[in-house]
Amino acid sequence: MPKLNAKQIGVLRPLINPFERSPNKTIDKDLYEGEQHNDEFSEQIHDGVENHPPPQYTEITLEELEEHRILEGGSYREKCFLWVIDALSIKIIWEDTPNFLRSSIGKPWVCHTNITGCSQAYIGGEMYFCADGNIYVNFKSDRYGRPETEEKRKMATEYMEYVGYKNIKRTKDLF
Amino acid sequence: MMENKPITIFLIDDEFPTNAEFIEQGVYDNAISYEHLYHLAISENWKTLHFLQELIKDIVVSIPCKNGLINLMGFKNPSIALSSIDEGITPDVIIYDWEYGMSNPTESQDLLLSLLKLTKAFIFVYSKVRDEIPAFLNKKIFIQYASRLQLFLKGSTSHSIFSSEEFILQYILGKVTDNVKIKIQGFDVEFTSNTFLKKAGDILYLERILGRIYLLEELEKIQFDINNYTIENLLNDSKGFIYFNEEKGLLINPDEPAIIKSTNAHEKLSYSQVVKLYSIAKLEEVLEKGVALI
Repeated sequence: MPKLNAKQIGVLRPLINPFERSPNKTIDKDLYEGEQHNDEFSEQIHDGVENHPPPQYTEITLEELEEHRILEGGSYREKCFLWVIDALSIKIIWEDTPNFLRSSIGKPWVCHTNITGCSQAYIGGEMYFCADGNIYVNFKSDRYGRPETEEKRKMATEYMEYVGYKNIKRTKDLF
Repeated sequence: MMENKPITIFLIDDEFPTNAEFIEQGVYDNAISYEHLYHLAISENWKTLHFLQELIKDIVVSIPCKNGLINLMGFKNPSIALSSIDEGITPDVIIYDWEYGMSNPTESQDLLLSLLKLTKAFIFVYSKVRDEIPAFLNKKIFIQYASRLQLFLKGSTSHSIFSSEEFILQYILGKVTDNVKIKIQGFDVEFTSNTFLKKAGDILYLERILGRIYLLEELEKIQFDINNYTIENLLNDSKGFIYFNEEKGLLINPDEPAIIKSTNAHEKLSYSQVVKLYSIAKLEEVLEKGVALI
């Protein structure tokens, strides 16, 4: 997989801990049971490359895109893929991948820290593979999102193109 | 209002206490009736399984069960339950103990898969060895069933405002009636479906919004009586509010000063107003993600 090069790292750095950019959340207070590990999901975590679809690939339809206001920054879990750029490359997982240890909080599906195993990463968000051929990307992640600069946002999507993903389109930034 | 349609619950566990008379009568060889389960619950020593004993008692003495809306059946092992399904009994909820003294856990996995394939039941995998189970459930084959499968630790009281058994109880009672008597941390709770919380499980939203300790203290103050009036007051007493920009269709967490400034959002909505206008899920979303579209 094409690893991050020095230029990309130079813009995306530093690596951050989960919630480090959040104004009020911390690992101790806001990370629930079942959110710290990634070993069970290794088969579902896709190391992104060459426009390859991740496991459980599913496309969002144009109707769903509109209904869930994805371009305005909305979300739709059933068709959402979580992405994280860690120290090496981009990792992607379908958000509806079951994570049964989160049953007790009523959210038995994965979150961004299930990609990283609660380790550091540069940046993260959501992506939608759309029936129109585009991949819609945002930076919505309370753990690795809310990048401080537009430069980082641009570099993250440029890196997605660099590893081979085509037709990357940014949605409206809510952060 | 929901229509009160009776439901069938399968409770599958190999550790029901043994009763000599029941053995002689062959009670354990087939589906165990709720009368027999209740007899075991009130007369036998369940040792470390007292949580399950309490769950059975709570289900059997509940008003919906007394009114014939809940048919609780026990099974010593999944094979007997599968035979009952073959005979045409269709469970709506299954409480599935994972361990049956099998040497290979994939046997339990396969039996669970059979129950998922043969029924449309919601299944609680309920076990003392919960932490060993995700390795068996987080497989491709289970993904299609994920929406009706949850995993709980027997006797756990620390992972949520509901203990595992309290969660299962409120789920079962909530399937047959809107207004239920449930339990939270061992306290009896009168739950009435209301503007803020449609079903008892929505209390989990309150837990995530207000925090478990604060919520418990507040529930004690209202004597665990959950209705429209008490929940509105509880939300208002928290003094929580959200910024609001109607024109841009945004709700914004007050802990996001940069977004508040950039969106020029000055209007405030109290937590109770947000829930009334939108939903408790929307309030949780804005608090979790910082911003929510409306």
